Amino acid sequence: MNDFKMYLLYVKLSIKSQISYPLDFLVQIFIWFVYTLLPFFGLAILFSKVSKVGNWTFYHSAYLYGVIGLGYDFARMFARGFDNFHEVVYKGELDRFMIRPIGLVWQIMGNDFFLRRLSGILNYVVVLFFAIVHVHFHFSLLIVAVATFFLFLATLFLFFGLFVFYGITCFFSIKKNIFSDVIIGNTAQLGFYPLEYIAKAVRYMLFYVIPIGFVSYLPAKKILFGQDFLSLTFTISFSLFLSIFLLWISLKLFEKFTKFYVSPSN
Amino acid sequence: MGLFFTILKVNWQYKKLYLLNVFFFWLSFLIQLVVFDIFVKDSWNELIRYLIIANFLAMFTSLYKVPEFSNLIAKGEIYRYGVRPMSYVFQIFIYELGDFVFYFFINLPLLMLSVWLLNLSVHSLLLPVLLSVVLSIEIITFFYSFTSVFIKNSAIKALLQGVSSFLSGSVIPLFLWPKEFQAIVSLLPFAAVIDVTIKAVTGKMPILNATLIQLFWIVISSIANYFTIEIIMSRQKNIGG
Repeated sequence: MNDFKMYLLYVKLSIKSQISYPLDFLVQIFIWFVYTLLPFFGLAILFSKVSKVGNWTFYHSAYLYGVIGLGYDFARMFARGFDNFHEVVYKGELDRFMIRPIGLVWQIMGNDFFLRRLSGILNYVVVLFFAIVHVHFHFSLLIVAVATFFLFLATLFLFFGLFVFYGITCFFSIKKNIFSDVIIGNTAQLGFYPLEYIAKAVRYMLFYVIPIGFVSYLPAKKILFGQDFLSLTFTISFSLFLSIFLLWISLKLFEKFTKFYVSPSN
Repeated sequence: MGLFFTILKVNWQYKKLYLLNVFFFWLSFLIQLVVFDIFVKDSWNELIRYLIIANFLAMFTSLYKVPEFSNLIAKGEIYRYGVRPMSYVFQIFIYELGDFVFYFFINLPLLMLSVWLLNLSVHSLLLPVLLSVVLSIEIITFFYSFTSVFIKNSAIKALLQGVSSFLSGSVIPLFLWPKEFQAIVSLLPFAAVIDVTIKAVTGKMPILNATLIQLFWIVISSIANYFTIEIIMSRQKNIGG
């Protein structure tokens, strides 16, 4: 509990420092809004070439774009400290973290809170509402809303776990490495396309290596096209279990791998 | 032949950078192919040619780079430019051009391979690519000059990289866009860096037309840069000894 209170204090200070330059902050919010909207325009352009990909219309993909984007941006907001972990390792700031009587993970998370991601989150919420209004669901709106919330949580945990994995790689690379851009970035970029129509090798990777297929795509498909409530419940539960398990594994590994940290300070 | 071996010898010193560039080049190309495979059923030859050249131009031109002067502004070290007996615009341009020459030689083996694979004529490649490089430097100079207003450059970087990759055609080729959008976007300077260059190189547009479009935007952006950079820089305040 003490750790959590300290984390909240870190976040409060980080937010305070970010909004102390209001013009810069507002401009950044606007720019990030435009930036996160661009892939959605790309999706619209590609769907203008074909009206449907299998059963998937533009609105179905927009739903997936909204949920995955929300999970990804929330993860980047809270796990920004892990996303930027190379700087902490490179500058030797981890030394200071280690001597404080607070959990390491809480300190890393609180070290950097990415507030401007709020604009991306707002954008994804708008897109999600836009998609839900246009898609014809077989389930009631309440079931869709609850299932979507759990799907968002599962996606958030998955990306959070991936950022923690990136933190582990930083113990070895010291400097910024390509795991974050190549693996995490591309997973978020490819995740909102209808995965069953994607090239086989990439599909296998997105299901069995970085399981966004199991965590986000299959449950989303059940919500969008499914009719069986039991099957939907099972898929969502499995997705949540898998993502929480991956996050737990990544945090445990992170704890274990801290022993490989070599301080650059004397 | 001797020059070629000298280039190879120099390149060997930067083998890690070269391998990283090659890796990102093919990765970006393959991811684009994977996505387009879902949506595009015809004109695959044209698409592959377009994407390879677009990825090359993205690597060579400065559109995705953060110029040195912007980092110096963020660090409060731009006074270095102020004490030299040259205009800011000229110094910025020369620095970025030098960077292009460095990356050009680093990526030369990959460029030669692609020219051979796509059966392109080196003759028709030179002018459009060179103008595209110059235009990209002018564009980034204009956008990043606002670093002195915001102090940080991360937001400008996100905006410029996102918007330029989208509007230049390097993410989704402009010929795949709906016709009405194509007409508007192709008039913008971003398209003159990538899309117009590709059209000129692949013979879809006469080189003269492409050159005129690129020159038009170079002149416009150079004039804009001259005023923005010189005005903004003259208002810079440096504290320290």
